[in-house]
Amino acid sequence: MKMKKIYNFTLILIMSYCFSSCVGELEVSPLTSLDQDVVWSNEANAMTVLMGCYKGNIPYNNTGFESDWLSYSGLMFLEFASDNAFDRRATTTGNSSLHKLSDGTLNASNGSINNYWRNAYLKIARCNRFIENVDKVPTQQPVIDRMKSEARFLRAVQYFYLSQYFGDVPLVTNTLTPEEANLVEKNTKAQIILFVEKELNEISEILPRYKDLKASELGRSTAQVSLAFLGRLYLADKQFTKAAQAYKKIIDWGDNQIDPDYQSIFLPANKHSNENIFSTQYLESLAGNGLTQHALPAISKGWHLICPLGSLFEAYDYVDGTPFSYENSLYDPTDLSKNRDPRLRYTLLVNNADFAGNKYICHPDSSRSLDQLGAGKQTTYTGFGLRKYFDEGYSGNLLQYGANTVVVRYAEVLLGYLEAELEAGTVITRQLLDQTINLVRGRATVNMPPVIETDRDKLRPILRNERRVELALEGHRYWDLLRWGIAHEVLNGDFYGAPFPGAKNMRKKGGQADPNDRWFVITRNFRNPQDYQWPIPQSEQDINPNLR
Amino acid sequence: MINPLNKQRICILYDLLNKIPLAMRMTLLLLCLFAFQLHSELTYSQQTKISLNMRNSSIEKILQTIEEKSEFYFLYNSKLIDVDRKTDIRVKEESIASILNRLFNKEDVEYEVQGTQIILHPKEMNRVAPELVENVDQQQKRRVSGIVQDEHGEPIIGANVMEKETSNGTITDINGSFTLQIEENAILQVSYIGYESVEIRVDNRSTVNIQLKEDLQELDQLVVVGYGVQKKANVVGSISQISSEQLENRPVTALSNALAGQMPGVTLIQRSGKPGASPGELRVRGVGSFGASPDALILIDGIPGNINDVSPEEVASISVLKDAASAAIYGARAANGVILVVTKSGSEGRIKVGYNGYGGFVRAATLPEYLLSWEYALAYNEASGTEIYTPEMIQKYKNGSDPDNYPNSNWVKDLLGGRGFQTGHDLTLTGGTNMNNYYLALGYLSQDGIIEKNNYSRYNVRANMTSTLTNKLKLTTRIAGVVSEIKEPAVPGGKATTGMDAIFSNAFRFPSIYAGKLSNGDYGIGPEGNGTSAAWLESASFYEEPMWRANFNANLDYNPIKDLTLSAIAGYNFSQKETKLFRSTFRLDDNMTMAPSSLEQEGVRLVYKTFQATANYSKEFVGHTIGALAGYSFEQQEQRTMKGMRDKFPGNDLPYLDAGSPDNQQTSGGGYNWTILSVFGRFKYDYLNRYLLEATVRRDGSSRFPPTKKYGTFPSFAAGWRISEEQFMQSTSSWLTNLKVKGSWGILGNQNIGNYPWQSMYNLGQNYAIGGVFNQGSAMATYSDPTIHWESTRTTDAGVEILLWKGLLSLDASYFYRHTTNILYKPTSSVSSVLGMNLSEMNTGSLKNTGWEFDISHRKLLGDFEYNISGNFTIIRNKVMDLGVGNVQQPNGLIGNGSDLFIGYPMQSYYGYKTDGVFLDQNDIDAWYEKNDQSSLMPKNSARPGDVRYVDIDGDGKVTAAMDRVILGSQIPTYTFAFNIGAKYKRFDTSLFFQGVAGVKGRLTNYAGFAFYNLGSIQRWMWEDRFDSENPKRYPAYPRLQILGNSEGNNGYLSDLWAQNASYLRLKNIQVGYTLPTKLLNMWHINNLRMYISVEDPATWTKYPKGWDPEANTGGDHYPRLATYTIGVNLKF
Repeated sequence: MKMKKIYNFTLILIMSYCFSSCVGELEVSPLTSLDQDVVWSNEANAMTVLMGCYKGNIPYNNTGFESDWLSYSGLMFLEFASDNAFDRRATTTGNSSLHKLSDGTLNASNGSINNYWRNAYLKIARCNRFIENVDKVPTQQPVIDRMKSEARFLRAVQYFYLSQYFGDVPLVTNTLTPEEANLVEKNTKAQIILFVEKELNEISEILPRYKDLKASELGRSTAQVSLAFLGRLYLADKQFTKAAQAYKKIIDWGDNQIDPDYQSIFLPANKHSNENIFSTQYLESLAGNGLTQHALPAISKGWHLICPLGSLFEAYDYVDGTPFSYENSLYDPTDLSKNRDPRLRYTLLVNNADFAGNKYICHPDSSRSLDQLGAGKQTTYTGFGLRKYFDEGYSGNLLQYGANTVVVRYAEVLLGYLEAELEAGTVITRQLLDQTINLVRGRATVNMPPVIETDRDKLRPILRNERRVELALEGHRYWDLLRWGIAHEVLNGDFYGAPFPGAKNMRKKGGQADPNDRWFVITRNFRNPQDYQWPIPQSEQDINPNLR
Repeated sequence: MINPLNKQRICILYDLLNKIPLAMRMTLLLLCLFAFQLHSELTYSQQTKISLNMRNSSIEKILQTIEEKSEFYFLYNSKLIDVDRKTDIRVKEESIASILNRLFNKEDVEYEVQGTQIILHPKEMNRVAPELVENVDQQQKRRVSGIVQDEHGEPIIGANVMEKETSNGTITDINGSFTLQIEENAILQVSYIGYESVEIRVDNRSTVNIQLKEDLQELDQLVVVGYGVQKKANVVGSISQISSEQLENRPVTALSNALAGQMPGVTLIQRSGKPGASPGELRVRGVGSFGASPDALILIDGIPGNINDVSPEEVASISVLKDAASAAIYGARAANGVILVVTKSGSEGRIKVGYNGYGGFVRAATLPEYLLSWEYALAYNEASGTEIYTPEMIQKYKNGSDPDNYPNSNWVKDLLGGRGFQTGHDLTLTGGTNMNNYYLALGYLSQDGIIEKNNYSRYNVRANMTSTLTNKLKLTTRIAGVVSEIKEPAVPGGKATTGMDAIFSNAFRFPSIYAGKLSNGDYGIGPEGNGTSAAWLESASFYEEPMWRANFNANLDYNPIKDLTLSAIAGYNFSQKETKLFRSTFRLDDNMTMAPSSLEQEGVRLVYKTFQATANYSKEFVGHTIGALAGYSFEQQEQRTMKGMRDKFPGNDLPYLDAGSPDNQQTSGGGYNWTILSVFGRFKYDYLNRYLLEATVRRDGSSRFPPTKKYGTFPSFAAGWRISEEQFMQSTSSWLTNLKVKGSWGILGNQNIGNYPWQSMYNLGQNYAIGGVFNQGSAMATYSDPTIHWESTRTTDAGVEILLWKGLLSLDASYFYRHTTNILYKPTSSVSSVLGMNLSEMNTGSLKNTGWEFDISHRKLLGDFEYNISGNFTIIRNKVMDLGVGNVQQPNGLIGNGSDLFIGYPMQSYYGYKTDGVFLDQNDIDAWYEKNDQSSLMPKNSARPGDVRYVDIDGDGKVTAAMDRVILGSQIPTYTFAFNIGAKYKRFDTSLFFQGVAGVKGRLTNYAGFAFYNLGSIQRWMWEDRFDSENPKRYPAYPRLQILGNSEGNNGYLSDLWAQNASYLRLKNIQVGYTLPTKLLNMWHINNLRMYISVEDPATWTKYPKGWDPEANTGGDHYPRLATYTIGVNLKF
């Protein structure tokens, strides 16, 4: 009996001990996340949130998609919707959501517009949360002001792009609950533009100038980049005088210059050239990008997604400044970059080009070559490849390449300034040309003859072509075509690739040989005016009738 | 308390042990030395001295005390020996003989000492042991002898043979024979556990041979329920149980696989055949949630675990608690059923050794067939509309004259068409005394995959020991260890996809026109310049996943008073997994080397701790039985990970992190914790075994819910009525053995969601590079609902059990209604992405699963021939009732998330277009666009003959995504069924096991579903049944061929063309066995030897696209289902 009591007592004791000590175990906290209170308790933690705003959905060490307007894929792949490049994934049937943006089949179910939309609001939400909370951080006011302005910059950039492509979108400037998010209403494009204008104007007064960025701060936003986006906004909104003012301010500050070496500014080694006003930052290995995997030719084990079109190839002048034509005696079908604006060679791969220690051979008859055009291989679909951005000595992981994605560079500022002055009706002088377009094309490694045309209407096509060539495959062309209102002219009809005179295998449209022996790529049918504006994604319309 | 029958059997078994030759005994002895305690030597009785000092104690009590103080144990029949008699005893250091002499009057009781075993019997009756019988002087009686056999003529050892209405009796010996002195006109009663008892009039015969029939009555079968066992007859919940016999001899590597089709209402969908892969989707009564994971709770000896950690050989029984009444005792995690796996435990008696071994091979059950290279070239030309491949090239592909440049590679056949060796061995030892017994199992399994360098191996060890510490205290200790390793080939560095999946998907993808290995020893560089699956397989790249697991649990049962058991269980599970992915450099040819090499290594440590205590009381009054259970449980798990990476290794010989280049080394690590704290109780009542009542309640607290919502309470009630036990049913009792109706109701919970679903947190890892430095970043990336609580499922269940002609035919039917509410769902597609965040779980929406389950079995013996047929059939209707936040009205009126969840339809639905064949010609196109303008899917100018005609559902003349999509079916099968046919003839046995599903859709995508998808190849059925413009058909199986990028094209939108009928009937297992004659075996001291041939998954009948298993919903990164052919042997000593 005694034993029994002891047993029972012990058991009860063990049980009650366990019970009492275990209740506390129900409180667990995540091991790799920061609590709300902790985040805003000091500057270093708040800085991590700001980094999260910069990041948005930009992936590292991976192939990206339309994950952010500022990621390499989000920015550069928009060229697929222009006359500059063709998306290899579209093959010959046009099955690429980026290609479909401008080929006459854009609809609300398009995956790319959904991605751009989704990731824009993702970044906006992060910025809104940061802006709402950063005042809690116990630190000096200027630090808070700067951090907050950076978030406002990132948010304004998203609204800039949303306004440019979607037009009327909801303007969300505070954090939402799911219920609120499902009930947002559209604001007009004009309202968005007004908002972006106000934000960029304000923060350009607060953000540091480019020259004041410490080496450890390279990649953070500056007054210059705010003004550059303001310039873009005004150009697109046809407020040319204001555009000129914004650009002029950058020029007058003189923090940035045209780099004499055109090719190097896109490569990892010279990525911090002060011509690059603002770039999306990548680091080899740790925080690399997959552009190499996506766009290198097959000979370098890439997927060759970016296939520049013949149209771009034909935009490069001859070295003497005359426009390209197949009839010109400087034309050499065996070396397509010979006698051409040097930027052609820096930007494109043409058949027989030397690249990374190999020959890039894409001739459609070269059945022994990996890069043979048209045989169903993972190769160019146009006869051209991409050279810009590629460090030919790179031997690392193709998903971890360290080149930055240049978002704004000084050459664009100069060309934008000239365009603003031109469209504003300012009298064009040789001096203005020399301070802008001729600085750009006259840099040491390009050294093209200066433009001397001062007639507005004659200068306009020259300037537009200069802009196309200088900024080729940097993500500007599609937007330029839209804002210039010429997309329905440019993006209608047949698109060709490179000329291959005498080739046995030729892709011909309807069996008809091209007079210039060019490889036929595809036909586009840009719809006017429908395709000038993206529809709001179908899934968003389904959820929120206010967005229909 | 002491079962005389058992004791008698033990006595005989002990005899047998003594008869085993010494050499063999020594071997067994050495074999088991480490695990258990030895039997005492014969001299024990002389050496042992016992002291006792007891007053006014019953004989029974005194004998028990002796058992506790020594290794002696007593065998007696309490009806024959008066053990209730009270006496005093006071001895010091006396021998057992002396004590027994004091206790019993020699005139009344005699005793026999055999080692540590003492048999007591009344003086006047025959002694229990047969060899003693003849010594007794029985003048007035006559002698009868005979043999007791089973239906197959095998002797039954230890059967009870009694003279009716006397205490005179004996048991059969090793040959099944007995001898007994009987009165004239005596009737013999012969009984043995598991057999029907018989009575035989001896008459004048001196020899009586008796055949016992196996008792087919299942009513006394014990069913494992939550925290206990119950007689099947008294079970009121819906429980399916399978025993070890149904698992034996199936050469399955994973226990989960052996469950498919075995029980009504239990569905297993296995989408991959990968050796060592996860268990697949194991579902009980449909899919209970579209939010929280609808996985059943799997408990191995009461402790959560991975069902595939247990070797099928170790399993004593698996029972599935399906309804609320039986599952509610597991409350918060029971909503989707509870699977209780019980491992075998030891049994009293001499050591029994069992061995089960098999060997054989696996191969892919089905593989798609691709076009030869010349056919591919033709198809490509047709698809691209240009002559990329000239007739000369096609000729070269065809004649194979230049295999380096014009090869004909058959990736699927060459790489995946092989056979892998599979072998499994299990050795079990069991035995013990009535105080201590043990079950010891050692298992080894090795399974090669169908591809080179792919293997899964597993070593299992288990020791289950039961020790009676005192007569009131019992300790059960279970120790199990598993060491397993998965080995897989991997893709060398430089390619974006890495693992074995990529080798498979590219084998299904790359066309046959690319060369694998060239004649000069180089490798073909493939369509992507990174080689082909054939090349990667020869690289030094590999993936390894060794895992170590140890599970300990100790269970202490204490009986302070009669009818009350207090139990405490402490369990500790530990596992450590190391994954290692090495990607080598690999030279393809002079120009192409795959690089850089890299190594990723990750360690995952999992520790699970539990403490559970229960009090179980049951009491029988006249006709009334009550039972009560109260319990407490605490469970905690923590997981930690640590990962390291380096790249650019100097060679491929040292795949260890230190050997990598130090310039790019990366680490990461993290983990999680969770805790569950519960109290629970159960009350049972039955009257005359006729009226059965049960009520259960459990209250759980979980760390996964916010402080105010941590606790949930889950009640259930059940009642049963055994109509067949009623007086008025006596007239039917000759054929109606059992008729029971039952019903239950209860609420169950589900918390299978992330570990931190409610905390609003800034997740780290949102890193960004600034100033050349990679900075830590964070973001509140997920919107969390701080008020979430349990998902709960209300289950109502009604059933009837019928047993006819003592088990000749049994029929079970049940109906269930499961209504899941407050579903923990991430309503991602129902919330605008303007929110800018992911969503964590919210309690939103409800779901209904209703269904019927039928189980039928029949068993009959016809002389030497015996057969059994059993089948089960389940109908489950799954229906989404409400999506809460996710109730979004679609333009066409459907309410749902616009992809796979719609109110009124099953979850996992396919939502797409209706089609009406393809265009035949341009006129057809023009006419169709007139009435069904499908420009939004396919611009008219791109439509060609052979393109799909999408149907305008709403009649507005246009086909749009918003208005013209319908529900095409669901991935959840409506009907699941299985049937098993077994037959035995003399020593041969055979069984066939079929299993199938119907009312289900599946879909193949990407490389698997579409020709020329992203550099992909084309399957033969696509080519043969494509739209052919020469011979246009309205309804070809495959539309016009076209070259696709990485989207499925205008013909590839989800439509009734691609949501395929995935119903199937599968021959799951076929087996033929032969048992060797006992007589023969006795010479080698083997009790049982059976040899068998078994084939697993050899054939499937389906309408699914040719070459793909109907459970494969894949885009191409798919490991085909395996068919297994083995030959094996079971051996019992």
